[in-house]
Amino acid sequence: MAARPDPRRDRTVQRRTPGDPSLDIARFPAVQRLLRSRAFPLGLVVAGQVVMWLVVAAGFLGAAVPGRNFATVFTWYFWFAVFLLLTVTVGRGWCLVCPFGGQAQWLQRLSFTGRGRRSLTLGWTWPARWGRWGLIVSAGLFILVTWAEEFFRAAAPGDPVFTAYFALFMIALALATFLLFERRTFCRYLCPLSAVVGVAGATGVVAGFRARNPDRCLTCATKACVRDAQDGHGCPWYVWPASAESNLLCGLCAECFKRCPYDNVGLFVQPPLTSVVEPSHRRLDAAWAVALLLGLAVFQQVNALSAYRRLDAWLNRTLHFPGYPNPLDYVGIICLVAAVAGGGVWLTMRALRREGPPAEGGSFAQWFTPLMYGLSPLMASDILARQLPKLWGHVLSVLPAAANPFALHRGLWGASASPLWHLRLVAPGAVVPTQLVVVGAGLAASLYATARIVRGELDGMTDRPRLVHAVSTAAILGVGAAIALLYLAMRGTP
Amino acid sequence: MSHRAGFDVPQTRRPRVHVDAERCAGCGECVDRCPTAALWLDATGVVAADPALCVGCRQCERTCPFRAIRVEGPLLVEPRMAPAPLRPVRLMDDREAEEGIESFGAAVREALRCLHCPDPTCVLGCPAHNDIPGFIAAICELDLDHARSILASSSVMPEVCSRTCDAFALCEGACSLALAGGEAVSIRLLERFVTDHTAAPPLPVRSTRAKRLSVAVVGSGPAGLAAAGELMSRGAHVVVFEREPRPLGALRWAIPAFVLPDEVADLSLERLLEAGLELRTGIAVRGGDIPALLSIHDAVILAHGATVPGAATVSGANLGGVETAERFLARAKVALATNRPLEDVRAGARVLVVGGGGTAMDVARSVRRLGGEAVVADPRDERTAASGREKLRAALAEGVRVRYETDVVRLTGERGVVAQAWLARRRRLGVPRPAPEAVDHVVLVTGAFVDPEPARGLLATLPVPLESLPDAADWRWVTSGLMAGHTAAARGRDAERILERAALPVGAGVWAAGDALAGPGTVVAAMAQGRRAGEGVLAAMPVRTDPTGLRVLTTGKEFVAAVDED
Repeated sequence: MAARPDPRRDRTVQRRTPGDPSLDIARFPAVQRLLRSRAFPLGLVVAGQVVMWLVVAAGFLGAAVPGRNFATVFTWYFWFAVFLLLTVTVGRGWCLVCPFGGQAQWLQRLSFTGRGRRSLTLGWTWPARWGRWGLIVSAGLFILVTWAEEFFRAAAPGDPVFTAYFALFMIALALATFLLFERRTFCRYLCPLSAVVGVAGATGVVAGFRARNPDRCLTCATKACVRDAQDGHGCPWYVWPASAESNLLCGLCAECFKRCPYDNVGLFVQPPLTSVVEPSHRRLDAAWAVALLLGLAVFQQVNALSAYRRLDAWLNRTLHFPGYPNPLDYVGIICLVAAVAGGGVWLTMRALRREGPPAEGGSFAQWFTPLMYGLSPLMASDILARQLPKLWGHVLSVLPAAANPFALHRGLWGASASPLWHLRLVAPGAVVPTQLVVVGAGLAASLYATARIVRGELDGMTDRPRLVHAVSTAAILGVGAAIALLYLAMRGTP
Repeated sequence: MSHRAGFDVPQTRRPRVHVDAERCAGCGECVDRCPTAALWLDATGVVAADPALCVGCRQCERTCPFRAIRVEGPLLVEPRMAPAPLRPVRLMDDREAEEGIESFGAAVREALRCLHCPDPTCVLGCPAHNDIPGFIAAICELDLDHARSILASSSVMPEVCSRTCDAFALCEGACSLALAGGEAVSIRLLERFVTDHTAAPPLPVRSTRAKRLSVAVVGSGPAGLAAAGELMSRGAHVVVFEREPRPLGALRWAIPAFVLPDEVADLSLERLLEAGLELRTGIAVRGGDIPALLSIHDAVILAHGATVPGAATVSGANLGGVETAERFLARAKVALATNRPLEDVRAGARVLVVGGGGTAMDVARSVRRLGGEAVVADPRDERTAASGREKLRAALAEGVRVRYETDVVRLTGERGVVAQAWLARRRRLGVPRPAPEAVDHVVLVTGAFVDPEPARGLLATLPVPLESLPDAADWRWVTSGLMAGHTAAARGRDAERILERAALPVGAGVWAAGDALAGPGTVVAAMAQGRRAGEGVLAAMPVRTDPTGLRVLTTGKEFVAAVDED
């Protein structure tokens, strides 16, 4: 038997990194100074903390009218839309400033700046069999939280106290996870927002922190970027800069940048959709998360239709469920969309993959995963477009709400009587066109991405590549058209 | 050389490696450290394992920064050899008690258990950082002389260390096999086998850069001799000042001959004397002598040991028949060597040894050889007792009784001589109730302290408090997986901090090592610090071109003398 080469001597980093120095914004001295400073991202997280606790306080103590309460106004008219916008443009930009994880991490590390000698956590490791499906768990929690938000009408708008409860739920979940598990287990495997940020953020232009020269990392004796030691912490997201090839998981915290002993880590930007098109290592759970989140986005369009309202009412009467949305139709519609996506890919695969052993024609996962990655820009645009009515109609009320968070008689600068309460950013008649523009952009991005993906990954698994291209293009156009028609039918309903 | 144990073990009884592909980032730390090359990175950049090669040492598990790899199942290594046999204890017999490995074959069999880890944690656990895999590999290759030369490159007295080290808490405690829950390689006994069966090589001369240097060393114990050896290997002239009439310090008077025979202890000193060491005994160096020494020598290294006995705080310590361990050991050693029993500790005497640690075991075993009954009252519990596994095993085998969590509340006597010891067992709840026990003699292990006199007037406070020393931020302690709360890791890190300090001067032209630097410690730690102090002296000396055109280390004293002669 031939001797296998000694794996310790013969090794390269298999996964790709951008590598192009011109895309490394950390080469600029001002950016370097900022990233090395322990005030980054502490300052951003502190700012987020202030707002978060103001939301909680306002939810309990502020105006009873939801449209006048800072908690409701900030969270549902401003924050969620901005969160999505940040996600699709930057990537995990939200995670950088997230107050839930940021606060819990302070407690876990017993330090604000990440250099405490002790830590307050049991340090458990997330079980591997759950970790493999982490993004599905996150998407599932997001779906659950969204159901609760719909049921209690927190953003409908409903009683502002439910917004406070939502924030407290996130705080409690984050704290509990950080105190039980190591690093950012919550952020990577549990956070309801993680799947949305991860899969939607693949369209973003920030690649994250990557090794400038991955080969240098192979000979690094410290791996300080990933190891906890007494002078600091390793990557809390379980990302090694030398092998990261998408922005799916890098939380932009800059720990690796601060700790690399060879100044070999940079902050790279990338053309949009790079993390959709280029990864060679794709995750099946991310693919299913895209399908489920698309189902959720579609539900949030369908629920504005009278046909749905009748169905929901009938189910609630029949099953004696207290109110909208009935879990059966809620989960049913979401899973139906996901099933259609999965079923459509399966049928396409069965019809068009190369005959012979599965290795030749690929498995279901090998077809489904890249195609869902291609669909992710359209999914993200749908979720973003759904927030636009609230954003255009009420975002300016954030200012007077912030000036009078506890609904005092007049508030700062006469906030209670501010005309901004009633001012719209976009006229009602222009809401649907803006939604269609956003969906159109997502559609174009998905068409482009899917074409690249099919050419790069599926062509080798079929004898009829042109037909695969045609089917995938038609499917995306069909989904896009359905989404657009639903927005037309909704007529700008928030 | 790779390990072959378990080659024919069926798959169902082999260790199983589980890689969490979702969390594995492909950094390759585990691949780099696997001693059997059982791991590699597959095409997706995730670690894969060959179960046919895995022996279950779990280094991959310990080193993975993301805990992405887990090993289940047995450790496939041959069982550790039986402990070295002990010579039966006989009255007035001071011959070496431990007999060492019985044959070359047995030594090779034990050496073959070593995995020859690419990142050997045993080296970290050893305060002297001996090349343990190296000398063990030489044994496997049946080349004992080469093994001896490897030991000599980092240890000036391997024959002493192999008899006095508490290897269980040091190198063997950091052995990968021990960290994996198995039995460590018998590193200490293998080291002793090499030293017992080979002639010591002459002191290696690595360079002559220091041939213009002259260094005074205060103390002829392990720290002083190690410093001398390091300096002489670079060509320096070394003068060792020893207060006592006989050299070797604690190696001579504090360790019984049945643990470390005098003729063995003398070997390292003889090598240095043959190489040109100048030894002056019977000279006590005081703090006020340092400037005078520095006017003659280029540097002074303080390596005087802890010789001042601690205060006896137990009530009744001033009774007759009560003495310190240092005094007793010195008397017992003479008595056993000359076959003259002690008047106050004869056959059948009931001797209570108060205190724990290796010294208490040495005292108790000496009592046994003098014919007495020995009971050790150790205030610590059994898990945290400091006596060392090997010493405890030997003591128990020789009939010593040890009572843990036992305090001596007071000693009472009759006609000015101790007759009763009031012992109290520590209780979790409630007040301990002392009970009297009849005793004929009491030996108090009070510890020893460093005589502050030689260091008087120095800038640094000696001994240096451990908590004042920065942590030795050597990444090997983190990346090797040794930082897992293991005892060897904690002791090793502390030893590393002191080692770093030993390289730095404690005053103008003055260095310190061993007990003088950091308080009472082990022989191997003192030796390592002495060597580091020697390196520190060499690093601090200016480099000049001598009259012959050679670049040498010198402070210029000799040049001044040479100019005067001209």
